[in-house]
Amino acid sequence: MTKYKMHILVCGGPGCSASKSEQIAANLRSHLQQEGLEKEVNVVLTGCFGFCEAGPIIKIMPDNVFYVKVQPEDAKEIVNEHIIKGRMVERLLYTEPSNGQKTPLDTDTDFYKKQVRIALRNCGLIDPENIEEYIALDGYKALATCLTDYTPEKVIEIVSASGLSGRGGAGFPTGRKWAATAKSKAEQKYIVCNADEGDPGAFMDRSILEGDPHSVLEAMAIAGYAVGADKGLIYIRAEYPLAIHRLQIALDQAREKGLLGKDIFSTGFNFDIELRYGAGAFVCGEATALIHSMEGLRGEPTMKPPRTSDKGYLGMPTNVNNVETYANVPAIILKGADWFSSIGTENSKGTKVFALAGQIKNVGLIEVPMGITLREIIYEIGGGMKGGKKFKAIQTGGPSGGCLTEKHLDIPIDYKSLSDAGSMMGSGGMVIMDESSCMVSIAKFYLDFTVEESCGKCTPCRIGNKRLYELLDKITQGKGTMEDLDNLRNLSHVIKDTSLCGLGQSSPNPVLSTLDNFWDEYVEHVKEHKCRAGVCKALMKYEINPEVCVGCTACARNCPVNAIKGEKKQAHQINQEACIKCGTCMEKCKFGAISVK
Amino acid sequence: MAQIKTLADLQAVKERVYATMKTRVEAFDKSLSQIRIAMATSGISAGAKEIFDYMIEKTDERQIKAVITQTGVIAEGNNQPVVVEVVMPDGQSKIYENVDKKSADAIMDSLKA
Repeated sequence: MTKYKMHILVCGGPGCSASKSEQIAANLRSHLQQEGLEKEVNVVLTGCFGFCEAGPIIKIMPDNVFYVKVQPEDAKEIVNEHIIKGRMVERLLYTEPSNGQKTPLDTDTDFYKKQVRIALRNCGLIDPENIEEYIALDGYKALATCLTDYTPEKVIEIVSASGLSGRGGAGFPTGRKWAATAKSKAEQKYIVCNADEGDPGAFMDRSILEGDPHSVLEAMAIAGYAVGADKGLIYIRAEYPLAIHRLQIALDQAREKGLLGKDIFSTGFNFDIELRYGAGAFVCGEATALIHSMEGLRGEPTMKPPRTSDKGYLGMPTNVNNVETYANVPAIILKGADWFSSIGTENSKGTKVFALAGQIKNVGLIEVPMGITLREIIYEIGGGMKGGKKFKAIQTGGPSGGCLTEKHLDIPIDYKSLSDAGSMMGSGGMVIMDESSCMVSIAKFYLDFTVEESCGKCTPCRIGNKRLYELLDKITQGKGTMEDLDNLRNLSHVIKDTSLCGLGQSSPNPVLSTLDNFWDEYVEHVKEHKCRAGVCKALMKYEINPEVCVGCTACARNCPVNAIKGEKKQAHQINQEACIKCGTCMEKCKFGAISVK
Repeated sequence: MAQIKTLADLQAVKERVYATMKTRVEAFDKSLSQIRIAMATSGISAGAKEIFDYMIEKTDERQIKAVITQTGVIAEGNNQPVVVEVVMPDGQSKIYENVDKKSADAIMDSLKA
């Protein structure tokens, strides 16, 4: 067996592979071969490192040095300098935005310092297409321990005691869900993994499945043992081809090793898993809609009860958990409930993976202990706002969540505190916005998404959300009234109270939270016909300053709708009725005579 | 591929594969001492590569818990050919010059205690 002296880890996550990280790995391998080092240095294409902002990333172990924004043609220099001569390639090192210093060790960066990796423990460390690397890091040991040493009751007891709760967003206690499914009597039970990740901008589950698929398979088998199920199903979006590919490889390898299939660990326990593809409907992330979709029916939710733990897939008791929830389970079994519950806050245990996006310096995937504050996430891990702009709002929980402001930055994040603040944990999307975002338009954006994704089964969601969207649109057009603002709020409450499933029950959250936190901005749109962020085009007015205009006719010639009139060498005017606010005139004016109000 | 039927089977796979991944995984462990070997041009021509290989092999054999990495010039202006720096988990470091296999053994022994 080869003993590698060094390992070069190349990020194969979604962002980095889009920037040719596979080519980087191939180039590294060929240069190592030229130098005769292929037996000493191992190149591994791993799952996502999380630090997508600086991608493509490669990491050299055991030095723990990481290089950012690496191009395929940098491979030769990395091999010659770092691998052969032990000299770091300075120009590829990461520069910390907070102090401008080059930071070679990833563990020293602000981005990684505060992170605690449980669900992502193997992402960016192992080759996800090799089951043996997973086993080498104690993979499948939790399953072996459960099957040989613990009763199913004991397994549920450990998961309950750990305080693990649903990472899909709602935060239902996992142990209680397992116990309910275990209690239901039936000939056949099912374990389902919800990998229908649909929030705009979220890629937590995708990264786990691409970076460490076995952690999910192992946990599903453990759940199967605990509740008495021998069949597992993973409902995954067809838009995740790489995750599907890696899951398929993982399933094949696990079956080949006998870790899935019949008589696992010679204990008589049988368990196997099938993949089911979703067509990308957002509502299918809701457990009952997901199950109907798997049954070949319309992806529509049904009333609960009966809960899926009583009547789920094909009418049989079914335990549905999210990808990230499962990924935590093997670590909990191996390290114990006490270890897990020591991390986090009183009512939310463990860690949470978030996808950071928006106007901050470091976007990417992070895993942080519950109880961390939004301020730490934005200003330390996220590196602060981009371009020195001022923080305005953070949107958490996707289309079901809300927008929080400056005053919420210091609350410790957990399920309860986020919902008390008018947002929710959600599956882990976090969009950070600066002063260039218009909050009415943001609410409209999420409603647009909900209107598109509503399955149409229940009236409040199908029609109510459409009406909410229309009201918001009217306001952004400058045609809103103060009565409309009252109607927005009232209608939001009706939709929340009367919708059938979680989609409708939470879809007005972006509206309500922006009404609460950005009331002034709504009023400004209505009363003053003003959008302070300059996003709502209908409220913008381009004007020519007659004192500055020299009458060069550049604006008039470039206006696509001929809205500008004026004689040569005379000040021009804009016909506001005809203007479409495209901004071309302002761009073309060389004298700075045109301004926007 | 042989099937894994017992905890012992699993453990065997783990140990076999972990040995190949050790240098990748243990770098994360800050409780380990680091042995850094200067591999600049002068170091390599004086045999630093042999010492590097030797120490990797022997720390494993003797089960000495340490991470071995290569680095550029240690202590600029120092002309002693093979230079090894040992950084302890508490941050203290010692620099050894003129290291050969015999003194490499001694360095490793000092970490064992």
